[in-house]
Amino acid sequence: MTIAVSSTEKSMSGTADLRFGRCKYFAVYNTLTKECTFVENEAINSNQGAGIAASQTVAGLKAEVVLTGNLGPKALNVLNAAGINGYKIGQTTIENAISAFQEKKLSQITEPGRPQK
Amino acid sequence: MEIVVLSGKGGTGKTTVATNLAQVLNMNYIDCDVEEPNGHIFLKPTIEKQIDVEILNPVIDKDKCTLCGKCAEACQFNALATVPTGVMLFKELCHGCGACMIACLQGAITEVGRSIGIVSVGNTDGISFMSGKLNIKEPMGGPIISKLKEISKFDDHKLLDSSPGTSCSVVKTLDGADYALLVTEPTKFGLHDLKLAVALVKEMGISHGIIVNRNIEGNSMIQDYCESENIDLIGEIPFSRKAAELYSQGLLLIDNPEYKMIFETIGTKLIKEASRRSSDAISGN
Repeated sequence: MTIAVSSTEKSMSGTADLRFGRCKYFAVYNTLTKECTFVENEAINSNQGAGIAASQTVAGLKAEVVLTGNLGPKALNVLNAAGINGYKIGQTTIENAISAFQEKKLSQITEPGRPQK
Repeated sequence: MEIVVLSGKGGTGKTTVATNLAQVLNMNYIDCDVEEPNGHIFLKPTIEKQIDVEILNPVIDKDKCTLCGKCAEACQFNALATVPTGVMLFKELCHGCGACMIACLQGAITEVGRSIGIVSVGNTDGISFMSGKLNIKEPMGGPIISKLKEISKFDDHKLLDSSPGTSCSVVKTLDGADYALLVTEPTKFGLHDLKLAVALVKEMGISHGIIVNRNIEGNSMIQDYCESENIDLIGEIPFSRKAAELYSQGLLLIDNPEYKMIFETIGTKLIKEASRRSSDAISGN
């Protein structure tokens, strides 16, 4: 399974980004090989539709789940249509987010929402 | 003569200046503040016709589409997404540029018009009146401003009432103007946003001058700025309870004789400066 995590840094021990559409990188983790690659999120500087473009990017990376803080309505729409489920994380690192998902500790994002303060 | 009234900061009196000057100078009035047009409140026009404004959105033929993703890739506005079940269109993000249709190698994309607002055309007290109105929830006023400009392109004398700020809508309104009239107020916010608007008209190479609305004796921050930047001060509109009362009743300030004189003086100076500046521009001075 391929997991995409919105990330602020190119490191497993780096901080996850709670924003999806405008995160800096996507950490792309393969649960079989346990390898993690980092892909720049080209949508970060979009004038509009960043969530849509970011969803397209993770779909292109063949991710099956996305771990992030929140998903906007349009991103949620595209991810749903692409068969990708989103799971909610709080302030954490990439590796901790992935372990929490694998331990089934994360809840699925079913409603669009704004970042929490 | 095409004069655009803009401000930078919102609520400084663009519409007050544009509506009163249009009447005093007998110029056609065009409300380009399509997100919140309000010139009609003061000019009370008789509307003769309303024209629907459409933009073109792509329609994807599912039978021809191979889900190659080229259309979404070509879209600069992220209005398309390719998913295993088809191509998703977020129509409110679409600018109607047609790039997706060109990028599609299968010929699966055609375009269909979608209404985003209306243009009203009428007249009031001997001048023609036009106003654009963007539908609620639509984010993009540009095509409505383009429509207003297209309809009015043969009008010789017109005043365009811009939206506030320095965004795309303002740039679109300014495009092709002979002169820009910047309306501001003597506050730090007014001056701050005025500087942004001045930078914009300079960048676009449009001659410009400034009107100080709600002018208060003893506060010369805008006048000082005009002097230091060598920008023409076209006029001052005094801050008064009378002006606020007329405005709150939806009346033109020129209904009051004192204000009528002020606007006539401003109008004369505006036409003089605008004509001089635009002939300077033509002769390259």
